[in-house]
Amino acid sequence: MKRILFTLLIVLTAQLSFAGGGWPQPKQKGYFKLGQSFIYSSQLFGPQGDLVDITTIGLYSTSLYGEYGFTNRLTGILYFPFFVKNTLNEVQFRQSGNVVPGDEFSSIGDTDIGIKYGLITGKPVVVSASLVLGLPLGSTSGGDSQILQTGDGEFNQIIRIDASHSFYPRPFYATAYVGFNNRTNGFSDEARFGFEVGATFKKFIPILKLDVLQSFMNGTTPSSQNGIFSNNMEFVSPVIELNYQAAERWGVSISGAFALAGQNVLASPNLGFGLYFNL
Amino acid sequence: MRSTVLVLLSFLSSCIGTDFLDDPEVSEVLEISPDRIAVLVGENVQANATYFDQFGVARDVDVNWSTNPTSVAVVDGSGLLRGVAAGQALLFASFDSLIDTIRVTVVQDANSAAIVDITTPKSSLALGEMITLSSEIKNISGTIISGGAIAWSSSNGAVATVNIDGIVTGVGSGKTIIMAESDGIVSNTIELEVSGDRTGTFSGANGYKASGTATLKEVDGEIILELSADFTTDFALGTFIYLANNNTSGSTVRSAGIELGEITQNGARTFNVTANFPNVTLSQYQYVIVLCKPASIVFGFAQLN
Repeated sequence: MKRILFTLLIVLTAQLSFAGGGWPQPKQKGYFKLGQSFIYSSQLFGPQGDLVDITTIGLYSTSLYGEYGFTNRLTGILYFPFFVKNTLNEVQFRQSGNVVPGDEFSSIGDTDIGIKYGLITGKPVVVSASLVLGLPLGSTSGGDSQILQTGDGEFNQIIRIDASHSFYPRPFYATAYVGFNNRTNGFSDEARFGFEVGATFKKFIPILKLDVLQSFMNGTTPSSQNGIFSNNMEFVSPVIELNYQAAERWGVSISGAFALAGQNVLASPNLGFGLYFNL
Repeated sequence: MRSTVLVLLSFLSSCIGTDFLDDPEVSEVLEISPDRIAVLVGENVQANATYFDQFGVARDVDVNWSTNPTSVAVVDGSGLLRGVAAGQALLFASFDSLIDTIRVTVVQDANSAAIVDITTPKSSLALGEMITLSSEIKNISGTIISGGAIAWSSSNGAVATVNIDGIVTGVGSGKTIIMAESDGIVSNTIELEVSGDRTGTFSGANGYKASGTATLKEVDGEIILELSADFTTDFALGTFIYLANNNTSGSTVRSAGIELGEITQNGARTFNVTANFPNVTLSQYQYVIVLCKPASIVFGFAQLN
């Protein structure tokens, strides 16, 4: 059971929702997850990596993630954040009682759709290649102030290679991946890589991951129309995930991720939980 | 299962929270009100003093009251002032190291001149600019008395001069106090600021970039902020220009500064400060701030000279 959930909140440390690593889904089999992730942060890593105090920002994403095996090698992928909420705290001054109003905005978020193809299957090391398209279905301007976003307005094209190895009969597995995100509208392209190890202990499936995002800093976009996190984001983020296989076909998952270092990324834990279903 | 769904629903309904911050610190002030008192001999007038703490918040404190000379007016511990004899006196209020003073005029009869009011069309002027002040002499009930002679004075003639007609001319940068006197009765005071253009060079903050210059100046009686043609900054959605006296806390800039407008591109830009903030003066703010308003992050600032 090697389920990874990557929840790409528009702005955050979130981890893309690929399940299965180098293993594609078997034909007519699938994995589906209803997930909730959130982050609530009063600090960010600025463009030089320094911690910067900010008005507290909350990001909440309720999403549906699914993988379905069209063939034994070809798997369809969908990440659909059907409810994304972005909040900005009000600021209240203790002595005078003066208040700077907060703001909030909710909508559908940017959505990923893609395919994964098993390049090497049935070997000690399995390898798959994925193509994921990030559809800018979110809003780039919302709230009373029109300055909150649930999407970055650009079209991601992500290619990714996953390689996995099972240590069967020991209940462990390991995965490494590398990816490239070609971004439009003058946004900087990104390199993504990382690895994960997981294990199955009866009904419990703990997973440890490390995700790294590096920007090529080659964007040209004047970002006056973009959120502060939209471009040139970088992070190194460990992820802890615990799955519990509650029944034969479904289970629950909780996860936590935190950027140890980064640029243009919130400096608080990204927490998530969800219900998953195996077809 | 049920609890999981409940928790999930709770996040769906998450709402705006509150960040609590201290107000920006300012100088403590003790202030007497009203700012002038006229009273008949033998009658009483209540004076009040308000203490504003380091956060600018009014507090009730025990104030010490006194007058000088006491042959003209006396005051008790509660600020109740009593006219003793015709003339002018000073009323003092003190708290810790703070002190405030106002003038008290005591008159023998209700028709005597008791108040001299002077007014100005503006509180700041450019070098070489001339403005005409107005004056009125009134009795204790506020009725205007005509025909009295007015003598004008400026506390700092190197900043502004005032002639016998109340015409003020800005001659040097700085501040001066203008007052008038008629038949021994001193008027209220007016603080006038004279200044030339104020400029500052942008520098980045919090890891963000900003460069170029800002110039705050007065043009045809209006305060104008100009960003130079080589002005550049980092941008994010909701990047605004502010005038403020704090260059570190974005929340304080938003709360205590004034928002001039959003910027979406680099290069020259002009803001008419007076159009939206008619009482702003050239020297009131120390910094021009580039602020990412949504997250309250200072991207850069220029300290005005």
